[in-house]
Amino acid sequence: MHVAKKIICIIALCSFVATAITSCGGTQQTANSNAPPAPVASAPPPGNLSSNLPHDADFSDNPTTLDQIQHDFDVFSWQSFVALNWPALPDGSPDTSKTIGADGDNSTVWESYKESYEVFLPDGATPLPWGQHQLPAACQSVNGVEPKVLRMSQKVSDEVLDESGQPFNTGPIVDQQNGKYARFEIRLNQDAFNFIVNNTLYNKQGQQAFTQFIQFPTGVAPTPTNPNTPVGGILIKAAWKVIDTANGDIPGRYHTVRAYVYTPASDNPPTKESCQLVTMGLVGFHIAHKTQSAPQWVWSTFEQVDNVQPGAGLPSGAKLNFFNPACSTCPVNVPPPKPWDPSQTLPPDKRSQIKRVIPIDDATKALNAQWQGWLKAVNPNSVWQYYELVSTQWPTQPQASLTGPNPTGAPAPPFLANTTLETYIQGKVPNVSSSCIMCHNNATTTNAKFSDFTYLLERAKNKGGGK
Amino acid sequence: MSSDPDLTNFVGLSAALTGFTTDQLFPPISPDPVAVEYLNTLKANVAAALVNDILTTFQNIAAQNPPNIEQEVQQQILDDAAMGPVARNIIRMWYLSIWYDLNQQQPITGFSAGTVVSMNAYTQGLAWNAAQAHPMGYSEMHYGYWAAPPTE
Repeated sequence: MHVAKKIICIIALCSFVATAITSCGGTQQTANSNAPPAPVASAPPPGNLSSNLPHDADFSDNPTTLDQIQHDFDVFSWQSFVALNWPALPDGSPDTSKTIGADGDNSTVWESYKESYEVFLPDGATPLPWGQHQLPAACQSVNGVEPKVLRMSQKVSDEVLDESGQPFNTGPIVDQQNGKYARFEIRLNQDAFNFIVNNTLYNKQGQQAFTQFIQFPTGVAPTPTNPNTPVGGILIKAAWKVIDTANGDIPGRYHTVRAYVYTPASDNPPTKESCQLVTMGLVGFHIAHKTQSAPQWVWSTFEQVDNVQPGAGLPSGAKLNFFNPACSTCPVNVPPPKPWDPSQTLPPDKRSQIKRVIPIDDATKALNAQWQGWLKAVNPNSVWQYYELVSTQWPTQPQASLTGPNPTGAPAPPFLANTTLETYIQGKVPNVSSSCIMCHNNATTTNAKFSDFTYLLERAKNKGGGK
Repeated sequence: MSSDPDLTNFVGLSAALTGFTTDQLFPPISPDPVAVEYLNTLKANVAAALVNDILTTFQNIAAQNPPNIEQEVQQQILDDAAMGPVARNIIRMWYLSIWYDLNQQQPITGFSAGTVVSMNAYTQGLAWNAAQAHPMGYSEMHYGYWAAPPTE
């Protein structure tokens, strides 16, 4: 293939609705470097909306009870959600001259982060530098300039399942509106990416050679005497659905992108490699952030408000994303029948009928209403008002030794699930139901070492190719 | 500590009976305090008057701040004909997460006639902590932990 056709582009991370790729072969830019001085916003954003990504939760209210600490972590989650979804400059840094949702929707900071497939390459090669992105070959012939590629139709990709035998093959989730499979992506911030690259953890040989206890960078809250503290490792997991206005989707209630939906070739079921350019809407959003107060990471999870029950303002008669209230006989929280071929469109009786097992608690609902109100105050048509925090999981005993008998630090709440990302493992059964910290505590490298609560390192391949 | 005096006395008594600290048995910040479940189990299975005797006796012992509280608990509770079997059942409950039927012949020699208090309790039995091991089907320890020597 002609080198130029490989489109190893320097993605300038423009607005997804504008020219996303402005140059190929240009100079790599690092976030926050060489950026022009940002103009000052004419009016401060409502409430606590800010482009500042928190490095850790703020405990200046001196919380003494579980509920008070939970509140502080939930605020941290909302601050993170807003900052990560803030309008982005071409280099991926937040555009402080703008406010989230002022234009209804906007490009986001986190979508400039590295996608997991860009880090763990099939030949174990060194990933392209931060700010540079590479498309799968099947997508290079598709007209379009969008940087986002969605390839996973389950939370853990098939290739990882083949390698590790992880028991997460619990099934895809299928849209009630259009019968299409939801798609997922995982992204890493620059601190996490640099840690993996600097320690050659992106291939098996590098992991074998790394003899230290793996510890991703920790976020530390800045102080007046130490303002330049690290952000810490951040991992984003996002769930998307195909937006199909002909089938009743209301695009104004979703953060939408034009994305390459990539289906790798598969023998079982027989599936051809394909890539399509599609409009996708954000329906689920995990943020995992390693911070000083949480060596077991802070786990925040958000959903689009219409996933399994009608959100505020949903027109009467409009369909939900993953639940059909008119079907009383549809099996609830059951995966679609196999074979699971994400390139197919399923008939109505095979689509997902999903209910939330653990309700969002009242305190979190109240906090959601407050932040949604601030987002709506920016612009009544802001798509960001249609997202809600499900909860935040954090360690109640963060000092617990990560090499001791209870490294998880007694997470609170003990169980947490996103209906789009842990659809079929909701509940309250220890070691079975979804608990972010408990589950990710089992994550290892390809040579079975503890990988600091991320399964990403299991995706590393042999240097030079082969499993 | 809890504002519930029964829970406070129960946790204090449990610390003397098990050798673990009150903070270990009832952490100040805990999402799923098993101590609450154990106290509820005790109250559901033992006559209220006897539960009250045990907790009041312990409260009086603690109020005197004796130099060896375990010895006082031994003499005043464990050696008591009525309270002793219940106190020993409390020890079993903390270590094994099981409530044994007090009507069976004492002392209990087998493991029959017991009920696991809850799924939450099953994972938190003190026996596993003391032995640096884990119950069947539930482990937080990382792959290869068995190759490391036990800690003190």
